[in-house]
Amino acid sequence: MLSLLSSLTAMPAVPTSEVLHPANLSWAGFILWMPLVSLVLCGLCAACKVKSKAPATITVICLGTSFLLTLVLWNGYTQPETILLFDWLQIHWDGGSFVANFALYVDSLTLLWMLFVTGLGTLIAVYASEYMEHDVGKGYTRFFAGVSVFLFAMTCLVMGDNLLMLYLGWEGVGFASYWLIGYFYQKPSAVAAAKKAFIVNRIGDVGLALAIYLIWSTFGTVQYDEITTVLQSEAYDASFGGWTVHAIPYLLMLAAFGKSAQLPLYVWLPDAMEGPTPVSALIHAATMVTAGVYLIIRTYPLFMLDDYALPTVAWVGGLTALLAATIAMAQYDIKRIMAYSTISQLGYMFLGLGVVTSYGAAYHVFTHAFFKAVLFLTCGAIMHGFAGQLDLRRLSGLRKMKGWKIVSYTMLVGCLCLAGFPFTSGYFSKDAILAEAFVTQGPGFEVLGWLAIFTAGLTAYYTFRVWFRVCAGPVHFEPGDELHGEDTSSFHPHAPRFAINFVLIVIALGALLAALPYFVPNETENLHGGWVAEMVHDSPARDGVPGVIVDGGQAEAHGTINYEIGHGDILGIDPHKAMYYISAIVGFIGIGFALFFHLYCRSAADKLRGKLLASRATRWLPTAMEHKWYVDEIYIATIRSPLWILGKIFSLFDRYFIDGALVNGIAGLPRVLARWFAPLHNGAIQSYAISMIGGAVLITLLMLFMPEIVEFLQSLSEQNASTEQVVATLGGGK
Amino acid sequence: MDLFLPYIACVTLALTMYAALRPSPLSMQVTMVAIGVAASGWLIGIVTGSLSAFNEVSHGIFFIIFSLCAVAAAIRMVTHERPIYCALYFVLIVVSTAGLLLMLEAEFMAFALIIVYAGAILITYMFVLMLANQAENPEEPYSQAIYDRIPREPAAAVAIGFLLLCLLTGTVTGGASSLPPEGDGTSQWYVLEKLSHQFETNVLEIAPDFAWPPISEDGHVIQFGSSGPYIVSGDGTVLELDEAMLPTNTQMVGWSLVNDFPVTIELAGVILLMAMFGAAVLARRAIELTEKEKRKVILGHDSEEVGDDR
Amino acid sequence: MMTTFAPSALSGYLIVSGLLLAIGFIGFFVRRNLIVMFLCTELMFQGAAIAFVAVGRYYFDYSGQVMVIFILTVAAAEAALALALVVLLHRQNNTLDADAFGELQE
Repeated sequence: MLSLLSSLTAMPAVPTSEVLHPANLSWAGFILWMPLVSLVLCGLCAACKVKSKAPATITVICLGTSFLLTLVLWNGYTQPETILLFDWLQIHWDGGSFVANFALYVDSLTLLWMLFVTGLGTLIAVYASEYMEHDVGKGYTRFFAGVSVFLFAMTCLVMGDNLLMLYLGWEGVGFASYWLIGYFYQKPSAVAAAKKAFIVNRIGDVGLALAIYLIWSTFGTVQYDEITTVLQSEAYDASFGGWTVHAIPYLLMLAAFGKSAQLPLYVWLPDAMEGPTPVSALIHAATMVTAGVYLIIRTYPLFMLDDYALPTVAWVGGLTALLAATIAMAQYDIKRIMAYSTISQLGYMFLGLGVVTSYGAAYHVFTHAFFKAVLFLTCGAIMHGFAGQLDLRRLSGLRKMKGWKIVSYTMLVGCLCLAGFPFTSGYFSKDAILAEAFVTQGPGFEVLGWLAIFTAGLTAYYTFRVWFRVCAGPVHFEPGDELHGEDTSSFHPHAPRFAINFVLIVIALGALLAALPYFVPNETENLHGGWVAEMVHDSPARDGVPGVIVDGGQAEAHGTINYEIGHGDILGIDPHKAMYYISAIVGFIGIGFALFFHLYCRSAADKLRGKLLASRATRWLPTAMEHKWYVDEIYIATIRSPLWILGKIFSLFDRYFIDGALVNGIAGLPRVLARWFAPLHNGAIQSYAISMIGGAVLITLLMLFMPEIVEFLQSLSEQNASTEQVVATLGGGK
Repeated sequence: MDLFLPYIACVTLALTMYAALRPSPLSMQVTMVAIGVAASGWLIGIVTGSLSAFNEVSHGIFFIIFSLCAVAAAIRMVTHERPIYCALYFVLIVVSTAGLLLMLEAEFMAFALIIVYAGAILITYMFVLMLANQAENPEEPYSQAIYDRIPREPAAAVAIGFLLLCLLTGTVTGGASSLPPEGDGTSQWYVLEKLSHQFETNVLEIAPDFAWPPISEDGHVIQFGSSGPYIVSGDGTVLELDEAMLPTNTQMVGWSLVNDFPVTIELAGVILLMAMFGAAVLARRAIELTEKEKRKVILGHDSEEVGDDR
Repeated sequence: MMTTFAPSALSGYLIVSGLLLAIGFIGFFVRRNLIVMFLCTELMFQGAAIAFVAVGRYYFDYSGQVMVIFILTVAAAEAALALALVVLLHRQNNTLDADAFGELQE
């Protein structure tokens, strides 16, 4: 605390980099502590039953402080630093040690992540202060406490210097997500969704825990820099570690798939839309779901150790993207569509990681955070204003309504970025990924690339389906389910006010401006990709940055990499250049379809659907897409039902065998024994007398003849001993 | 084999007792009693070895007579179905016991026993028996109540009794050799010393010219020599004392009682006082019976509702 | 008289005492009539009295006979009170059966 004050007073008006470096950066710990302070103060508000918007103010101030500190940190950044906050786990014994301190590892990758996490966190807290105003006094404080917990955990995850702090943050964000999805806990569907999110995440967490253990047992440490040191040391060769180094990437992958909603474990994300919209925007679009991507980028060198780890990531990502896009095309709830769109875009990021462009994935994370946040927030504003109406069949022409213009146009910005319209941020980030799919040679990557391009077209279609239906066309609206008894005919939509509009504008601007970093010139030689590439380069994931030369020597130093990097092409043309045009064309095709079916001729969409349903050959397509390819039902049938039956069997076993036979049986023993002896208590004095005297006589006999009895027993045991001796001699003499 | 002989006698006695306890006709019961008496006689015979252990033949005979009489009366008392007869057999037991005590030269005890037991306690028992003993069925005034005719669990009782008897037999036969050495009769003479007037009178009766008092040595006047007790007078005369001079059993008992157990006498008196108070208190409670209950008691069954007046 | 005992004679007296004790014991357990039960306890007292006097005579110690006096005292007191109680019980239940008074049980 004193050091912070001294550094603040000593700060002159000159660039701060000269002051802060190499001075101690322990004030950076406040980035972590501010959300915690906010949590404590919100707890106090809850205890004092505060009925105003004070919790929102507290949270915004604390998160804003975190953001400012991040900016200061970024400003003064020159090289990776470790900032020790306090000693946490220090377990040493003969032959080993487990050290995991509460320390912050600040390199450029961390800063990249922290910038948009804290920035979006603050903005969404401001948005939520107006959005959640219906609940002031009822759950308002709980909401902001949840947001604070979430940001503390996310900061821990991103800024920790060892895998244990990452795990702490991982579990923390999982918990915060559960708490916030279940915010409307009186609704059974919300509670079920919260449980589903937590449980599906847990499956991934198992992978993470096992991976951390294997990493510790293979490398002897869980700190990132020490792992890198081991990997780069001279003693490292292809046979290092045995089977564990091949298992580690798959376990980490499992964890990332759980948290970032990829193919087998994505089912929780659509249901998580039961939570309030700011939660969906913050957690399930911008920050928490990128934790999986962050994990893989952080441990990128470990993924290079197995031949098929990265291709697996790529294929899973690509298939997820395709699947989610097809489902999104057939949904009617706009928040659900956005959720599936998130899953699809996350699939893109994993695809990028798999085709060894960590730069592309990180850039897509950055841009996606902005435009997906703005899309969710506009959906929230619509929900807020139309009493919960989210069905795109019942809303239309919003941009012509008074007070809804900002919402409509910021949504347009978001849709353009998502669809990859030329010269938006999403265009550049998606191109980086798509191009690399053709550049890197790997198992089936070309097919994957064409699938990804097709998915981009689908993305453009369903995104503009939403916009053309909701914001364009004739004005029509119906109130939703949260009308609370008002008359339907006299319903007036509730236009958003300052806080919501302000935040929407800021984030939309951010989405547009996120294209700019692409054009920032690179300082490091041979690097291209702009500012993001710079940020990623200074981290262990630098192998995925375009322009980094990975020659044979370096590849061998890092383990086995069996696929060549950087020599493919598409249709004979260099992929990067070709992709500019291909993705633009595909995007326009998608937007064109959306324009036709959902603006000019809306009935054509219903007729097409009817024709598909009528014909037996194609009936399955719309029904399957509308029912999300029955994935949830498959899970219930294959996993949940057997477990349910097993649980019933065990409960019967527990009730009849363990409770009945063992516990009650043993408890019944004294009763049975007592029944044997109960007749002794028969009230007849003479029988009591017989018992007494008989006992006394027997005891006296025993005492009188005790010496003889002892002699007899001794003679018996002597007889036994002699028998044993005889047997032994007999056996030995055989 | 000799070791188990007493126990075989015990077994026989136990079996006969068991047989005698079952409800059976009179002849059977008498037979069983006879066999039981024979078994006990056998047991006593085994234990005592020969009658010459007793001082004189007559004493030995009397011992057998009295002891077998006692045992027979005891067995019959236990197995008889009419309580009044049990009380009468008990009187016989008391008389036999008194006879045994007489043989032990405890005449005071013998007669005290007869006076107190047969004269007081048994009379009380008789009173209560006559008060409480009623025929079960008015039609058959000589039948006994069910609880008198049928005993409870004779097997268990006989078994425990047999164990007890074996215990005692084993103790007696095994321990006879380990008794401390028998005493000598000197303590009796020392009491006579204390009764100085009687002593003097007795001595002067035998030897009128004995110089009284005699010399005392080691605090005792009476010395013991090879031929018995004697006293030495002041002038050297030695007088041998006759056994007739010994104080009577009553005197001996009285001396021991007052000299050695004064507090116990007081306590015994208190016990008797308490018993008197207790009996008075217990008997004082008057129970008011309604007419209905009185009729029930007298007639032995519930009376009609008609005429029930309170 | 200064006559002494032989140990086997003492054994004889003790066996008689034991016999009376055992028979009285059996009778106490077997009879259901309350008064006869008490008579059997008195029988046990007789046996004890013989034993006391015999052993006392063996050692020329008159404490044995004193003990018998006290046994007598206690027996008298006990008989008086026991019979008073039996009379009361008989008034209550109109029976002398020991099994009728079986309330001292579980």
